[in-house]
Amino acid sequence: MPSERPLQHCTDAELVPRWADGEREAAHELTVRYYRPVCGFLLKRVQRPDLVEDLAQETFLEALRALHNGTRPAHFGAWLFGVAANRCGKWFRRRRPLLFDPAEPPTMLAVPSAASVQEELEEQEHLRAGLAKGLAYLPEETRTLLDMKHRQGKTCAEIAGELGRPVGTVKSQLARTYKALRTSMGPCGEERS
Amino acid sequence: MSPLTCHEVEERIDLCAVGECDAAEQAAVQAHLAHCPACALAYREALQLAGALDLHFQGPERLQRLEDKLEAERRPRRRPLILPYPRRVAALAALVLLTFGLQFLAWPPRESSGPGMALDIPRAGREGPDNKVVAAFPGRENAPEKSTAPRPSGAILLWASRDARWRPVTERRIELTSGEMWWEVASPMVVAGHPLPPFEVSTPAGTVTAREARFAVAVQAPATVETGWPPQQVVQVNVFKGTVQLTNAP
Repeated sequence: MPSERPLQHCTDAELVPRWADGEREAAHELTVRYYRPVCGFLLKRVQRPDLVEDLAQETFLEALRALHNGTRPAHFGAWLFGVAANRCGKWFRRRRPLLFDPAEPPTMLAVPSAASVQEELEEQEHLRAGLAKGLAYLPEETRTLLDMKHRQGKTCAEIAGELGRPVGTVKSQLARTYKALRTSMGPCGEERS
Repeated sequence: MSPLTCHEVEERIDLCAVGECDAAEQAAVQAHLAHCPACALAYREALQLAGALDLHFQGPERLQRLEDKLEAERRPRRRPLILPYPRRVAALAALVLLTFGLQFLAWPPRESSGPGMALDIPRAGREGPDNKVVAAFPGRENAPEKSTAPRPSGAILLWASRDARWRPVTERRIELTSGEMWWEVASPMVVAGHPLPPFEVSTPAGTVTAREARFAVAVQAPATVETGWPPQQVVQVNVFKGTVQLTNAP
């Protein structure tokens, strides 16, 4: 029976069986809770922003199928990141043979432990907050440029054509903005001490 | 493009990460990254930023797409009424093969007056093996009035050259004396509880034995080019599917 508490206050352990039973609200809460962290996790590993959405969808679909088949993970977050790591592994195998030095096993594809999931979530939250802070300081005009580029998926040439400005100007403005945002986001997770 | 310095890479790195560099620039940047750890780290950060911006601006739409997919996955699926395309193609191919196979069994090749059997190949089958496998079964017009020769069973003749001379010896053995024939031997058949023996094509140089295979046997004119003196019969066997066994003539 669904609990009376708001879903935002429910633990993963409470939500997972409800998702498996087909409760849409539980599915929504878990996807909202984990979509961004999983995307960040995937991006850090495959280094391909254009692939992240597909891989994230595959991750959640695989998780749902496993739940339907009776899997009940003790730690949903760690398990979900494990599914995501597995998707990355499959993508890497499709793309190229993995050549590792046997003396130095790969760390990037390793399934995160339950303990490191919290770290992963914190790291993604840190990056998200850094980005939000950086974006807040941008002038409206620059935010419009970013919106055209990243929401509407336009190229610099298309943006320049639409705004009636030289392509070079659009490119330099975006390049300056990216550099400023990178600074506000801080270094990559794995290099962060 | 000449090698880039760290400063030049730093200027381009963010635009490359969002796909706004041309191929030459991209190659030059990648070449620099291969030996510069500091710029490689900056590039990874640029990729992280590009992905984070995509997620920031498209987050709600992406989440909605994901939830739609999850909902579609959750709903019970109906069995499609129309067969998927590959199954339809496979079913059509099976139907065509079955039709030709039945026609072949109903009207076996015409017997010639000579020691072997010369096939009248319909026009579609005269193009030769270089033009892919063709179904070249004798049509009704070529059917003998009454055939007493055993019919090959469990094997389909795909193609035969005009000069093919052959005769069936048993249901599972034919003798090819000249020309070329392409055969498809189906999986081992059981008749009245006994498995059929393997299908055999005997030639002057030896016997080709097959259980489940698609293969071609070409009996060539005696030659000395490859065999030396005295001239020997050369038989060429091409196997396209499965395996065959070759046995030299005694």
